[in-house]
Amino acid sequence: MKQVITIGHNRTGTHTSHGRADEMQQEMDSFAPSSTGSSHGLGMIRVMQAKQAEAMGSLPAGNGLDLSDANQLTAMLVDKLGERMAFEACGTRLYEALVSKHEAFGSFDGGPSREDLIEILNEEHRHLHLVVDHIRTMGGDPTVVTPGADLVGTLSQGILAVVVDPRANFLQSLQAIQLAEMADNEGWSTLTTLARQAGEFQLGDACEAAWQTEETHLSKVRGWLGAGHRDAAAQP
Amino acid sequence: MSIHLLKDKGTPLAKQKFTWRELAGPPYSKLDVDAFTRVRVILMNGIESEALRFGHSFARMNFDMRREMAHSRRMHQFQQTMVNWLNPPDQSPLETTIGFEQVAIEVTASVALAEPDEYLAQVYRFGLLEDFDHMYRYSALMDRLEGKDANTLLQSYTDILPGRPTSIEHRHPHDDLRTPYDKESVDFLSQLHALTIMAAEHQTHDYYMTVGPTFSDPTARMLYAEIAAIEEQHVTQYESIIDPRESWLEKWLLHEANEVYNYWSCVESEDDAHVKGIWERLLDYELGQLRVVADLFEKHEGRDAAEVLPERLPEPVQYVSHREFVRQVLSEEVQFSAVGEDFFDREEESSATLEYRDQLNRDVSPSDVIAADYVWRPGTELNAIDPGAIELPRSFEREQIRRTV
Repeated sequence: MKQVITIGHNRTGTHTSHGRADEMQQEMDSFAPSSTGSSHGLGMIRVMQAKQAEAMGSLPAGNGLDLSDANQLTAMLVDKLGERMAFEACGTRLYEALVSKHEAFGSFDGGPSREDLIEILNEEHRHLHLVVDHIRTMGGDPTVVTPGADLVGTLSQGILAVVVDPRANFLQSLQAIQLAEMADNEGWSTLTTLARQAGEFQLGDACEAAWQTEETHLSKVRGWLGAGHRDAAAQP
Repeated sequence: MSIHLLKDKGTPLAKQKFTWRELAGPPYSKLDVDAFTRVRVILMNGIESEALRFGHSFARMNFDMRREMAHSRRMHQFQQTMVNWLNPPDQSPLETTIGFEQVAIEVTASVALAEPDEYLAQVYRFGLLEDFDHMYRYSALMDRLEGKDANTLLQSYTDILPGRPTSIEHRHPHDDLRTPYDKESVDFLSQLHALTIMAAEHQTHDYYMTVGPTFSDPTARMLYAEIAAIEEQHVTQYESIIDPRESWLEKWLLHEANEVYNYWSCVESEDDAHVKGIWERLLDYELGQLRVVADLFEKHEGRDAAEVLPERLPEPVQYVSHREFVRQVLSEEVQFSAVGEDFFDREEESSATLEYRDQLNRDVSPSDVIAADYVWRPGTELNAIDPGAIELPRSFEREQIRRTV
């Protein structure tokens, strides 16, 4: 199936408007804006509301982890553990969806096999368990959605929307996965640093190992994307 | 707080005012509020949506009261905005959907338990088991699409278990109609119940019809289409229990009284200070609107509003977990279906319903696909699989899905 760009009847640009765009731009001065100022009004309201806004949510106190008297470093570590857990669960589902795209559209010269993708899927799943197990070891509750987990849930929505869209081909879905892998790399890097700052050296080492695995994922995805783009560009 | 429906004046209509900043005020915290705050917000959005829907229908059939209606309707539109904008932007459409189904389960359970008429209570229990199943299907979707646990929103108040399977809830339109109550003999509480659940189901239908096409995943798109169709059946069911012989003005009066009842129920149970302040304000606004409609009723119908409304409100809606009751209904009534206005065992379904259902499910049943072998686990079903042990078939094309009940 096609991984290439279809040449068709896209109507979004002004050049395909048969002169309507020129008509739109005529005598614009006769219709002045109805208010003065600039687009910076949005900034003004953002500043005003952000100064008054409550946080999106909190970490639960007294839930195994005694966060009521914890310092910000511990709180941040717990928040970021929750964030990684949420991201790895979503990542596992992302790769499941990517495998279906692989089956539907097929791969390309230099692209991954089904087994390659399932291997990464299971590495994401191992990373999920790594975090779940560590939260349990710390006496925490791995079912909590931390504020960081909530944020990555929102961040991931666009990536997921591409990968599960039946109209996005395998190569386009792979591009969305690349974004997820880049974010995942940064996430593990941050967690490694925080764990060591907090004196959690065993966790730090485990996070660094996961980070290295994620670097391998990113490197593979980059290579596959490059090969896919070359392959598509060479199509007649 | 005690309410006297016919004496409390509330905020006069002329003094009911809003600003954009108030209307789009700070949302509740998805992570920190009690699940029943979300339930109340979603229900009251539905109650206000019904106020507008009814108001517009009436306005198209009446000239004499058009000015009063326009004013009242405008207030309802603003009230709906103020309530609906309490939903936070980090609560995704699928997460809000979980909230909608929690409303449909817990509020319907509260209504079914308090309903004085046994036939109407049966109607609510029947619908309850269908919405209960929708919760299970949407939770499976959230888990299997996004890797998220619906229970983070439900907060363990509501079970995630199969109910009457969604794929067999599809019935011929004639089998969704019920016998209306008799307006001359009905209990006031039964009228409030019918309006409340009809409003909730109608808004649920409209919400699914709005957000359904925004999903990319093909099973998600079909699932929303399928469950929206059931919500339309539920609206048909619940509006059919209301006596159509009630006059337009009588219905308007009952709508306003129901809005008072529901805001008061929210005030009685809310523990979030910001949200409670909104319930209290809008309760006063509703009392002001009820006063106007009661006067119109007495002027145009030449009847005392006390013929329709009692002095005091019945017990409030119970915003608590109804797990035990729901499980009991599940074990005793899951095999029920409806033929015409009555409930029978599924084996006695009409040929019209069977043909209708077979046609819809002919290609695929999205609700069966999404929850095939699904068991809710804390933190998603991924947590119950050994690390790195996820197995995918050599090809998805050979996957077989078969309903087992």
